[in-house]
Amino acid sequence: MPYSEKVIEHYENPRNVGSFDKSDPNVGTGIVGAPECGDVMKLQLKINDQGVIEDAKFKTFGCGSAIASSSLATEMVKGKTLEEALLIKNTEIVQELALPPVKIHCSVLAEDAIKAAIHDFQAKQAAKAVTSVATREPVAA
Amino acid sequence: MPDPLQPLSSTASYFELLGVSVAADDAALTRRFHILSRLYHPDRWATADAETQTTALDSSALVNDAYRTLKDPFTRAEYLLRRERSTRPDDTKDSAAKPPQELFAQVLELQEALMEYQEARLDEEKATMARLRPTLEEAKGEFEAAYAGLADKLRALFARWDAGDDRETLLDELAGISGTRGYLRRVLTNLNGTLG
Repeated sequence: MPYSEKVIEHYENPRNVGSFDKSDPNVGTGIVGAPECGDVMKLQLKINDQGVIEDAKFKTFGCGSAIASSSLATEMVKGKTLEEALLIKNTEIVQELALPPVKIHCSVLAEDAIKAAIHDFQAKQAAKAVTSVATREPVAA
Repeated sequence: MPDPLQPLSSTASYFELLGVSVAADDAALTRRFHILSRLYHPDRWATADAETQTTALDSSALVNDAYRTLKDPFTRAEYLLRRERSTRPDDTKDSAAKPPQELFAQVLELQEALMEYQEARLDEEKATMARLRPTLEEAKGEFEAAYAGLADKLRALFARWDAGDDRETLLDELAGISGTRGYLRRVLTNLNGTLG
């Protein structure tokens, strides 16, 4: 089955390709993959102190549908809060890109990547909170 | 000649059918395969009644499937995963989605070098190609070595299975290696295709 026009459009002009500094505390990084086809997708979110996704970047090693799905995902998350972004479903990507059934897993990968990036960010924030408590302890003691 | 010919159990695992352990080596597997192939070979039962002939035909097909599946460590691992986890697909989804992150980082890094090389080739930038080629050749060697090591890792897990280690843990590890193989195979296909 040929790719839909929207897939080709994203494939030829992918939005937001690139990387953020992984160690930036305001950046969440999600790397996910599909072992059956060997696709690997990295999606990064830059999240401000209000919990809003200001920017997103991706790098995907995979087929046209996987690249288009991650490209679209970066566009969808921008401006959303973390809570809103967690509600994004792969079916929205399927519909927008008119993905055929054999390529639905590409959209699942993009949804997983968003969730993984958010969880990475939340884990970083939690670790930061623990560290700041830990560094205060000697003072309290 | 056993009389009458006993049909093989349709619920037994391939290991049980062939009478081998999960960690059985090539020699043991092939030996059992030959014994059972001879026993069930349809030619041997050509003069028997129709029911026995059908049993012989079905059983020898089953023995062939079992042997083909278990001979390769990767298909052996996939068979174990399918059989042990077929009733709980949700369990596998999570572990399969989490292969080693350092592998992902390597794959993405290689992808960039590969794309750069492919672009250089399109633009006929010989100098860039010559600069990138050794890196890609080196990566190819590393990925090939990693791929070869996966079969050994599987064999070690099979041995632990027979030794009675925790099966859920082993299935998780088998799923991880099975997944890693998918990524490595893809990378190697791309590398071989590009480097020629």
